[in-house]
Amino acid sequence: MRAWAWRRTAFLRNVPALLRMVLMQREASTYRQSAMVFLKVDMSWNVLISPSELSPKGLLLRKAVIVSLLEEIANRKASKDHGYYIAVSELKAISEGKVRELTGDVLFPVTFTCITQKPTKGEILVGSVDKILKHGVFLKSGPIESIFLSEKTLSDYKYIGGENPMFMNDHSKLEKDTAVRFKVMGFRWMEADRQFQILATLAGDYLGPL
Amino acid sequence: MIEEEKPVKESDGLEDLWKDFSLAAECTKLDTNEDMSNEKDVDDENEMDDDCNHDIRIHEDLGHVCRICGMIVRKAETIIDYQWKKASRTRTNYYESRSKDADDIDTGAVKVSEDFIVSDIAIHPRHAKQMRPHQLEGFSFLVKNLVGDKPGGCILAHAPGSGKTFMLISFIQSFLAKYPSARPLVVLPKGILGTWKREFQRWQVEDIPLYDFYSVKADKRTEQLEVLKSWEARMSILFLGYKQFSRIICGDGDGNIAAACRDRLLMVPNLLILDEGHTPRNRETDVLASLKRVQTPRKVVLSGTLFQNHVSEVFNILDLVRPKFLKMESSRPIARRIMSQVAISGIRSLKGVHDSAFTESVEDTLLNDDNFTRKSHVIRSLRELTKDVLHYYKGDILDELPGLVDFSVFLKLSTKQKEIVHKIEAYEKFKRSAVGTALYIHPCLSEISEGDAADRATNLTDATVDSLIESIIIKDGVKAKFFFNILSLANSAGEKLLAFSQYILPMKFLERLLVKRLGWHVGKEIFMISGDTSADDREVAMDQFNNSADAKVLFGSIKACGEGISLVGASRVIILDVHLNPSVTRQAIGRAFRPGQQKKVFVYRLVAADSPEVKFHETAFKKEVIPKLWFEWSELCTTEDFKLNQVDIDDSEDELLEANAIRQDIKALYRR
Repeated sequence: MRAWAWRRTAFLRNVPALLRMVLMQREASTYRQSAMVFLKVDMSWNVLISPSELSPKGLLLRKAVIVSLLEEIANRKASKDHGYYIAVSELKAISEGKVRELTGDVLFPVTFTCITQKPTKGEILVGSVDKILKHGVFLKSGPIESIFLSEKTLSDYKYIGGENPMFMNDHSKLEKDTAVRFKVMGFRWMEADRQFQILATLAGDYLGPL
Repeated sequence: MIEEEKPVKESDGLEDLWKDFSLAAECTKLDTNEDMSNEKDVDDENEMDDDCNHDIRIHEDLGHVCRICGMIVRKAETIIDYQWKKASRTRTNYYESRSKDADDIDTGAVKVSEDFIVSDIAIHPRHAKQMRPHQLEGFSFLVKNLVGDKPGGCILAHAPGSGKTFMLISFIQSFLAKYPSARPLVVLPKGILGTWKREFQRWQVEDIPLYDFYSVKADKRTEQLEVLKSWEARMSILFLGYKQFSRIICGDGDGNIAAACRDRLLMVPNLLILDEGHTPRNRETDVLASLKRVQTPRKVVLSGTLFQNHVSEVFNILDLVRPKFLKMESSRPIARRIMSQVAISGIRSLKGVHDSAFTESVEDTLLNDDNFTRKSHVIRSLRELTKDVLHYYKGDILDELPGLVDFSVFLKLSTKQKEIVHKIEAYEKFKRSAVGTALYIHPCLSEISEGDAADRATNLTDATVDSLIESIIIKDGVKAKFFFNILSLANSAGEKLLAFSQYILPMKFLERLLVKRLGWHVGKEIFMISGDTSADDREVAMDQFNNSADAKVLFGSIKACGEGISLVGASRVIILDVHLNPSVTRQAIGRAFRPGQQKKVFVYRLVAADSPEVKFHETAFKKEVIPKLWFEWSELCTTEDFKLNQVDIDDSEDELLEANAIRQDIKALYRR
C-alpha cells in the first residue's frame, strides 16, 4: 500500500493541474485506499464578488464565483486542520449572496469538496533533496517544502563538505536533487509561513535514496 | 471515509531534532540574506524604500497584525482575500532556568577533624555541614592568621563563585562568639552590599545588627557619627563602601565631627574585611593609603582575581595586610634568593632588595625568560614567600558546570573600516582605544566618538542614534555584523546572549539597531545594565532576563557588571572590545559561567585584525598568563599550557561559528 502511494505521488507531480484533477477523480472511485494519502474535505467558504463582476446572466456570475474561489484556495495554500489544499474537486452549492454596505460587494457562501494532503506521523513519502548542510538535509515532497533530515538521525551517513556537499555511506549517497524515500517522524504547523515543517527519518526498511 | 487526525505531540526525543531544524534553517537564511545584501549594493536607492518586514500575528478580533510596527495588515472581515507571502520566522524553545546559589548545594555531612582547628575557635555545626573542603581549609587558614598571640593579615584568593562570603560569615560569627567586644568592619564595593546582607540574614545563628550608611541615608558626618556610635556601643558589624571609607579618612573636613568619625574608623575595628580586595592595589590612590592607617593587624583581603595588571600590585596588597612584607624576618631571605636568581640573566646588577626592583624583576622573569628552570625556581620561591599569608583556591566548583569555551575571534575589517583605521593611529592611547572601539563596531560611529564629551552625551540620545541607523549598511561594520549573526543563530537555537563593552556608545548603537531592524523592545527582549542603572532596575532586568521566555539579549557595561549580578539565563557571551585588565573580562564572563548555569557557555572576544586592537589583546593576554604561572604552574606543565591555541573553525566544537555568513569574516580563531 505504501509503495503504491509513493508511485502515485511521484506520478502526480509531473501532470498538469487540470489533468491531475481529472485523474484523481477517476482514481478515487477505483481505489478507495487513496484516502490514506489524500483527504477529501467538505468545506464552506465565503467568496466576495465586486460589483463590476455582477451580471444578470447567471452563468457569468457563477464563473466569477468559481474563479474567485480557486484563486483564494491557491493563495491560502494550507491550514492547520486540513493540510495542504491540492484541488477543489466538487462544487456543492452557492447560497444566496449578501450585499455589503458602502462597498456594494456581494458575499456568496459556497460549500465545496476539496482534496487535501496532510502529513501524518509514520507516513512514507518520496521527496527530493533541496539543500545539504552539515546539520542535516532539507527535502521537498509535493506541496511540502520544509522537510528536515537531521544529521543525528543519519547515523551511518558521513557529511562531506566542499563545492558539492553530500552525505555518503557505504552503499549510497545523498546529494542535491537525489530522490529519497523517507518516513515522517514528527511535524508542526507554522502559522506565519502557513506551512508544515516535518522531521524525517531514514530508519526503516526500503527507506533511503532511490 | 474522511478521517482527520490531530497532531500528536511527543516532547520526548524530538526536541533536539526540532532545534537542529531551527538552527539549520537559520543558517540557510543567513546565507540567503548575505547573497541578497551583495546584490543590493548595486541598487542603493531600492534599499531605502524597503518596507517593514512584517511579522504577522493573527488576532481574532483585529485580523493580521504586524508585531513589529503594529500595523493591521489585514482586517478581520477581509481575512478571506489574498494572502501575501509571509516572512519566515523560526520558533525558539525556551527552557526554564533557575539560579542556584553555590551554598544551596548540599554536599552531605562533612566530618570535622580536630586537626582543622589550631585554636579554640570552632565552626558552628550548622555551618560545618554546608562547608566544602576548601572552605574548611580557608577557615583554618583564617584562624591561624587572625587568632592567637601574634595576629596578622592574610589574603584569600579564591576563585569567583567558590563561596568566600559564606566562609567569612561563618568566621565572623565564631570570632564574635569568642570575642564579644570585637567590632568587625567590612569594606566592599557598594553594589554588593545587598548580597552580603542577605547572606548574613540567611546564615546567622544569633541576631547580630548590621549597620551601613546607605540604608539609613546617612549623608552627613553628624548622621554618620550616630551610626558609628551605635556600631561601637554593641556587638555589631559595619559595612562601608571603598569610596566612602577613603573619603572619611582622607577628606578635608577639619571639624570635630569629621575627626571623631575618622578616629572611630581607624581605632575601633579589630577585624577588617576587604571584599573584592584587589580594589586598593594602586599605590597612588587614597583607598590604599586610608586602609593602611586602620590600626588593627587583623586585615583580611578577599579577591577572586588578585592579580590584575602587574606583580607590584599584588605586593601592594601584601604590604596592606602585612606592613613591610618584604622586610619581615621570614621574607627577607626568600626575597634575596629570588633576586639572586633573576639578577644573573639581566643587564641590571642590583645590590640589596628594593620593592620596585624586586617586583619588576619577577614580572620580567615570568613573562620573558626563556630559561624554564630559572622560571620554575622563581615560581617556587614566590609560593614559599607567600604561602603563610595567601591562600589560593582555583575553584573546582566550576568543573561541575556544563563547560566553558573561551574564544578570541579575530575579524577582518570591512573596506570602510580599514580606511578610517589609519586616521586614528595618530591619536594618543586612550583616545585611540575609545574611538577605535566605536569604529570596529561600525564606521558611522567614529565621528560621534571623536567628538567632545559634552557633544557625545547629546549624541547618545535615542533619537540621534536612530537617525544614524536609518542610513547605514550593517555589513560595513564587521563587529556589528558578527553580533547580528550570532544573535540570530543563538536565538534560533534557544539561547540568550550577553554583550559586554567598556563604552556606552557601541551598546546604545546595537540596542537601537535591534529596536529598528528586528522590532524588539527595551525591557522585553532587550535589557541594559550600565553604571547609571539603579540597584532596583538591575534586579528587575536581571530577573526578567534570566526567567522571561521573551528575553533575548542583555547589554552590560563591563565594569558595572563585575560583581553581584547573576545572568545564568545566558549561554552566549560576546565581549565587544578588548579590556586591558583581563580580570575585568574574567568577571564579566563569570556573570554567566557560575553556579546555576544549565548550559555550556561560549565566549567570543572580538578583536579587530590588522588594527591597534591586536596589540591590546596581546598585552591583556600576557597579564592573564602571570597568575596562571604563579598559582597553577607545576613541574608537569610545558610552555604550551600557557599559550593561546589557534584552532580551525571546523574543530571549534561550536556549530554557530560554522555558518558561512560568520565564517567568512573570521581571520583567526584562538581558544584558551
